[in-house]
Amino acid sequence: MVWNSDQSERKLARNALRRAVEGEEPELSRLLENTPKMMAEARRRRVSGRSDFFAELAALADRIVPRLAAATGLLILLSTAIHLSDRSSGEAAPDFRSLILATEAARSDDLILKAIAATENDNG
Amino acid sequence: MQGELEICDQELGDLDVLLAARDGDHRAGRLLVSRHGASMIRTAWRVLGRYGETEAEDVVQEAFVAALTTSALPTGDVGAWLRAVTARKALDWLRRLGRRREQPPVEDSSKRGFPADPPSAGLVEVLAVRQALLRLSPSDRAVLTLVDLEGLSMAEAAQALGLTRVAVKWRAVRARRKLARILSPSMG
Repeated sequence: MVWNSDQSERKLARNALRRAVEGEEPELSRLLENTPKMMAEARRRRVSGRSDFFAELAALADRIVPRLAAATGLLILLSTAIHLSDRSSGEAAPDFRSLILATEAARSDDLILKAIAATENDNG
Repeated sequence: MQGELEICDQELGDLDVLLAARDGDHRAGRLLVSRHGASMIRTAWRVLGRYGETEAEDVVQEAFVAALTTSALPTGDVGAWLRAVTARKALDWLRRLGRRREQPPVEDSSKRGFPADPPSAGLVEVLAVRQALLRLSPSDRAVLTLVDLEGLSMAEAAQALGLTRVAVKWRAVRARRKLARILSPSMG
């Protein structure tokens, strides 16, 4: 039975690990003697950990910013490609400047403005 | 000293002692060491594969510093948590030394304090078990110690050792089978 085999192997491992440390008695005197040093070291690490927070933040930004820049570059390329594709297909991409010019030219009596708007329209 | 424990030591739970030690209470620190130091040393012996050596004390010191530095709190038994930290520190210690698999230590009975007479059957068995465990990798020994001896779940052991759950499970199954083959040839 797989389950029984697994359980017996676990028991064997457990017993082996227990048996392995028999005959040795841990000595605590050095640990007890060094307790103040251990606590001082822990305190030092906690204090330096807080001041290192901004250093860690900078390091994190260091890793992330290049990726963000690469992603932004990719988006720019993609949008440029889509824009060029739209223009070449003959569909007029919405031209904000032409729209404003045309709107203003329609409202205005300024002949020069109307001429510019007409030129923009021809250039399409 | 700030925050000195005023209640009888025996009445204090392990978590309170740990927190007091983190706050700088030296008496709490010594109490934590006296309560859990021995079991942490045994855990270090198991993972290092070297029993009775002072290297384990160095590992346990690192484990205590880590336990007092972190703000993480044990969710269950504090002793088991400290031993899990110890197992991880033992692996880190071995990696720093560049050892992937230790050479079997030369057992000198006079150095160990064992009598120089022919070894007893019990001692022979202990040595045989140690040799068998040495044939596992340190990571495998750490996994078996935490999962099979300490009773941690696969997820808890994975988190303690910096492994994935799948890796812990795989290592546990493989290590148990290998140990069974070594210690019980009839199971073949």
